Amino acid sequence: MSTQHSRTRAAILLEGVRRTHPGAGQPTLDGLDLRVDDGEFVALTGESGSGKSTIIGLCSGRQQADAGNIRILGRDITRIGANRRAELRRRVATIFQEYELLPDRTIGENIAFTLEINGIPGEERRRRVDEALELVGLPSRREALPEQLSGGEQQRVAVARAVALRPSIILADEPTGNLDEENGELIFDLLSTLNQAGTTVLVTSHDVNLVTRLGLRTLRIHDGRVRTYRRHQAGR
Amino acid sequence: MRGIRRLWWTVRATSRNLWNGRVSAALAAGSIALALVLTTASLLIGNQTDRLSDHWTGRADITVYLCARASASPRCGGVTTDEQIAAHEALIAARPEVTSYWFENQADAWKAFTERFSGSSIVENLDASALPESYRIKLVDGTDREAFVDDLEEQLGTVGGFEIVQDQRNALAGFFSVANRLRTGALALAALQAGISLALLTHLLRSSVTRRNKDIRVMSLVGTSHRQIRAPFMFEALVVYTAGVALAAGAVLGGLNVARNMLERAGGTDALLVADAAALRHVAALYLAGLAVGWLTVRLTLRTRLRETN
Repeated sequence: MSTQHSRTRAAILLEGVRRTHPGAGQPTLDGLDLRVDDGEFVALTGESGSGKSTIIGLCSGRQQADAGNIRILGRDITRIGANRRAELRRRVATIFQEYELLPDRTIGENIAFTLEINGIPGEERRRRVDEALELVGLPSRREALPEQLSGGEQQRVAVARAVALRPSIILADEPTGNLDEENGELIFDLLSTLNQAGTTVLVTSHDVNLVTRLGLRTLRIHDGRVRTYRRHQAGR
Repeated sequence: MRGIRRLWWTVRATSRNLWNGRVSAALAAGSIALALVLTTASLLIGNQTDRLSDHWTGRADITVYLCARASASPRCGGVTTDEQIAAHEALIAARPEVTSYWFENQADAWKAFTERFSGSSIVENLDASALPESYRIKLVDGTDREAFVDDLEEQLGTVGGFEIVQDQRNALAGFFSVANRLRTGALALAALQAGISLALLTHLLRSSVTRRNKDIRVMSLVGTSHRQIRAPFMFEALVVYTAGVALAAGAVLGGLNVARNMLERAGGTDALLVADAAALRHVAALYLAGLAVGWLTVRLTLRTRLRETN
């Protein structure tokens, strides 16, 4: 695998990573090696509890490794403090299964909120919100509240929020976990579109059929390590 | 420019927080104001006590009143002579417990008397010659005053020409007793109020943090620094505390004004009343102390939450 990627810069690089959750006897990840190159779209699959979400947590700085090294966009984030974590998250956006939208703000405000707190000026902010909503196909729902949207639509808003920040990497932790098949495919299509525009995407999914159909490079996590690597042919 | 935009965002977030929790904010500000009024009042009672004590005792511990024209004491057979005054001074100066002493002549005594009883009919019926001259004595701290008074009376008795050796503390014992009780009571109440207001401020912040738990989580996830997440809560505490201090300052100055007017109406002088500047100094000192406590409260309240959201 390392020969195959040697000429390209690694966007995400995990080497010999071990992570044991507090109170757990066995490590969730044990000596895990993982490399995702710049501009790649990689899917992580595996059983529940296999450590997929832990990998996303480590890459976004929400969790810290007990051993090993983690480099994101060339920077070592193995032991990361609050300030550098904040800096990292402006370049690495995370999408969650639970959407994480603010319930008392409209869709437009939810997207603008993240831009506003990152100091993006008003005119630029409005433009980016428009673009992001256009991209996810929800320009007409700008004034709606999250509760007025379906699960699929809410997840599309979460994608729009991530996109608006123009991150270099998108990490998506089971983004289709709460969605039906049709909406799940829609989210993956969106992520593919972003990937084609140059964004590196690392996504976890329990739905092997879906990632198989999309022809993604797929890594299966088992017993805390990457066990199998497959590149599926697109089946649609 | 980015800094200004972030500051503007912080101001708007603070306004939103305050509006959403306006009842708690108003209660906290009122409670802080009450605590500060009581604390300032207790400090002012202390100032006022010292001020009156200094005035009435002339900053002396012991006073030796000499014989005047109007003295009725059996020790006095007439006005004290210059020779007796010189002999008194020699005896006082020789005492090792005395740190300083000074002589108050009739003109000085009359001046103090007319200030103290300004507007009273008693001033119109007396003149300076009716007032006794005196020696004012300051003692080394820890001196047994009772023994000193007895010894000095015995020594001065050999010379004569004095009416009484008076311990000023005894002369004002009633006043000091009431003032000290007032001061202690006000301080205890102030400490209680300060504790309650701090608990209220903490509760206000905790409620605000809990209400905005999701905002904090989302902010953290999209790369907002801890400092920026903390900023609206810091501002919120600052606004509430400043409002409380402003209310307290208004109440204290208003109270002093009422006291001044009452003194004027009663025909007395307000020269002995503690000055507005002293009150404002106390309020300012409490404000700065409160800011430090508030800052610490916000940091401690948010620390756990930020660690949880990570």
